[in-house]
Amino acid sequence: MRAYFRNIYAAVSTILIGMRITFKEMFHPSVTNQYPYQYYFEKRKNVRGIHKGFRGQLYIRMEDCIGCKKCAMICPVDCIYIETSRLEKGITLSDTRAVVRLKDQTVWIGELLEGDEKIEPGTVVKLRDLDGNLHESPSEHVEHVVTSKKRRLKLDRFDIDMSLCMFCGLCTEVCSTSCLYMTQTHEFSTYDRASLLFHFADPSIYEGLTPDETETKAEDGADASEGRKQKAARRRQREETA
Amino acid sequence: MTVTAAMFYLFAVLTVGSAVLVVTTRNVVYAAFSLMLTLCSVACLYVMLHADFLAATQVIIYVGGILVLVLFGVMMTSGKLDMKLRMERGRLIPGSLVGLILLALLIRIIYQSPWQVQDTNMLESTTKSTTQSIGESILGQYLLPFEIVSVILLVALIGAVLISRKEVKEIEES
Amino acid sequence: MELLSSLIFMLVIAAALLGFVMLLALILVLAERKVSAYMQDRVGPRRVGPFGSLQTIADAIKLLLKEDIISLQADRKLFILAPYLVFVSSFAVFAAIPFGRNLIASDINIGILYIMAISSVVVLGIIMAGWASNSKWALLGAMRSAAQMVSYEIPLALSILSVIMLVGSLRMQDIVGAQSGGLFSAQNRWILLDNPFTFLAFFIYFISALSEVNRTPFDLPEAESELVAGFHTEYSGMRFALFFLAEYANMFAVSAIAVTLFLGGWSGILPGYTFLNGVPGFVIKVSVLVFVIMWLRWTLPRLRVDQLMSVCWKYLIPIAFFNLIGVGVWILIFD
Repeated sequence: MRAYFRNIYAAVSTILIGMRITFKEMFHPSVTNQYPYQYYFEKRKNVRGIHKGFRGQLYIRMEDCIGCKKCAMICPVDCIYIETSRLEKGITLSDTRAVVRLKDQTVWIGELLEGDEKIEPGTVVKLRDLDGNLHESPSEHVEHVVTSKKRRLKLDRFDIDMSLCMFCGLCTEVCSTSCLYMTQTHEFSTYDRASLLFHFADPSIYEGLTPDETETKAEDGADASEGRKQKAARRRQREETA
Repeated sequence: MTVTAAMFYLFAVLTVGSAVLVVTTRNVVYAAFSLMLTLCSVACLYVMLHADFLAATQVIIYVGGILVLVLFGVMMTSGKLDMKLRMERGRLIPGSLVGLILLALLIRIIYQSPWQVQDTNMLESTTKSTTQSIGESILGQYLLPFEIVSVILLVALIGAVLISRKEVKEIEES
Repeated sequence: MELLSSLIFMLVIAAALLGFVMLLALILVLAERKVSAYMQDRVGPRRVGPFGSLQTIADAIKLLLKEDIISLQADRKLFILAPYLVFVSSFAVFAAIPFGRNLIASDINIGILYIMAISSVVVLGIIMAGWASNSKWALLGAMRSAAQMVSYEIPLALSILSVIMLVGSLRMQDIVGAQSGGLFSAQNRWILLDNPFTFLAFFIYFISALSEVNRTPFDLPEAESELVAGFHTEYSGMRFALFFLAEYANMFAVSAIAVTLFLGGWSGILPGYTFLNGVPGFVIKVSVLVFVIMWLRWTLPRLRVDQLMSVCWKYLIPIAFFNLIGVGVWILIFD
C-alpha cells in the first residue's frame, strides 16, 4: 500500500524534475552549425578539420599519366573511362616525374636523385623538387617511391564519373606513376548529374607536336622508332648467324 | 418540406440502408462498420426526438464500446481479409417466412402500445436537458433495477478478468 | 427555402471552423518543431519564410504531390474511408467549444457529453485504418491504440463528472458562466482552484486527454521506433496529412476543453472585461496548455503498453473514483 503512494510520488516528482531541465534547455544557446553559410572547424573542441588522408574528389596530373589503365581495371564500379592510342612516328613525350610519399602523407614530386622503388632500410631518399628544392629523408619515413616512367601512349579520353565513384581509393593505390590522387574536396554537388562526369584528358595538347629525329632524344634512352630499328637489326643478326 | 422532415428522412434512410447492408454483405468487417453507421443514425434519430442524453450515451456506449468489442472479435477471429459469409441454398424460404412473421409481430406491437406523445413546446424542450429527469428517475423511481444492473455488470467484469488472466504464482518475499 | 437557407448557414459556419482548424494545424506544427528544437539546443526550421513560418505550407505541398500508394492487399474502401473518419470526428469536437461570449458554433444542451461521444468515434477510425492496411504493424498499432483510448475514456469521464457535479449543467456556456467570477471570487472561482479535489481532477483529465490524443508518453500506437509508424504505416501523401492534421486538431481541442472546464474558458482573471478575457484570453490559455503538452512530449520517454494499461486501471481509475466521492462530499458540506 505504501509502495503504491510512493510510486505515485516518485512518478510525479521525476516528471517535474525532467520538465524543469527541458524548460531550462530552451534558454541555452543552440549549437546548430548553419552549414553552407557558416562552415568552421576550429572553434569547437571536438570538431576537427579535414584530416590528411581524406578521400575526397579524384584528381589526376595528366602530365604524369602513362595510360596503363590499371585504375580503370581495378575500379569496383567502373567509373573511369580511358581511351588511348599510339603516338605518331617520331613523336616523343616527356617522361613522368618521380613521386616520393612519406609516412606522414607528405608528397614530393620531381626528379629522383637517390633511391629506388624498392625501399632499402638504412638508405636515404633524395629528390629535387619542381621548384628546385632538395628534399631528403631516411628511408624509414618513406612509404612509397615511384620512379619516372616513359610515356608511350596518347590519352584520347580520361573521364571519371564522380556520380558513380565510391571513394574507395583503390585507383590511387594501383596507379603506376602515383599521379591519380584524392583531394580534400567533398562538397561538389551540382544540379545536373551530367556535370559530375569530369573530363581530364585534353587531346589538343598532342596536336602540333612535330617528329624531330635528332633533338628529341630523351636523356636516358632512344625513342621508340630507334628501339624498333635496333630490335630489327638484332633479329637480322641472329638470322644471319643461325 | 421543413428542415426537420428532411433530416428525419435522411437519417431514416441511412438507418435502414446500413442495417440492410449489415445483413446482406458478405464481408464480416464491412458488416461491422455498417453497424456503426446504423447506430450513429439511430443516435441522430434520438436527437430529433429530443432525447439528447440518450443519443450521446448511445454513441458513447454502443459505438465507442460495444462496436469496438465486436470489431475486436471480428478481426481477431475472421482470419483473412476477405472471408466471405455464405448462405446455403435451401434456407431462403424458411428464412423469409420467419422474417415476415417477426415483422407482423412487431407491427402489431407498435400499433397496439400506448405511446405517450407529449405536446411539448419546441423552445422549452431544446433548452432544458433530459439529463436531469433521467438522473432523478434512475436514482428515485428505478433505483432497484439500476443497482441490480450495476451488480450484474460488476459480476461480468470480474468474471472476464478472472477467466482471462494468467496464473500468478505466489512469489516469496525475500 | 427554409431548408436551403439553414443548410447554407450551417455550411458557412462549418467552412469557417474548417478554415480555423487548418490554420491552427499550420501554426501548431511549426510551433512544435520550434519548441522541440529549442528544447534540444538547436534551431528549428528557419529558411522557409521568416522564422520558418511557411514551413508547414511547404510540407503540405510536398505531401499533396506525393504518390498515392494503396497496397494491393489492402481493403480499398476502408483504407480510403479511415482518415476521413478520424479527421471528421476530431473536427466535429470544435462545434461545441466556446471561444467567446457568443462564439460557439452550436450551444448544445449536452455539450460536454457530445464531446465525449464524438471522441469515442475516433477509436473506430483508427481500428479501420489499422485493419484496412492489411499489415501486421498497422493492425497491432491500431489494436493497441483502441485499447488505450477505450481504457482512458473512463478516468476522462470521471474527472469531467466532478466538474459537472459542481456546475450542475452539461452545457458548455453554463460551465464557463459558473467560473465567471475570475480567480479570486469566493463563489464563482475557476474550477481548478475551487476544491482540492477538482485540482486533482484537472491533472487526471489532462493525463487521460493526453492518452486520448495519442501523445507522448502514451504514443505507443504511433511510435516511430517501435512499430514503424503504427496504424498509419501504409498511408502516404494526403491521407497521412489528414491523420497528422487530426492529431494536432485533437491536441488543440483537448486543451480547449481543459481550459473551458477547469481554467475558466473565456472568462478572465477578474470579473468583468479585464485582461485575459474574451477570445484573446482563451487563446492564450489554450496556447499555454498546448505548450505544456509539447513540453511533455520532449521530456518524457514512452510508456510500454502494459505500463500504460497499468497506469490507467490501477492508478488513474481508483484515484478518479475517490476524487469523485471527494467532490461530492465537499459539495455536500460546503455548498
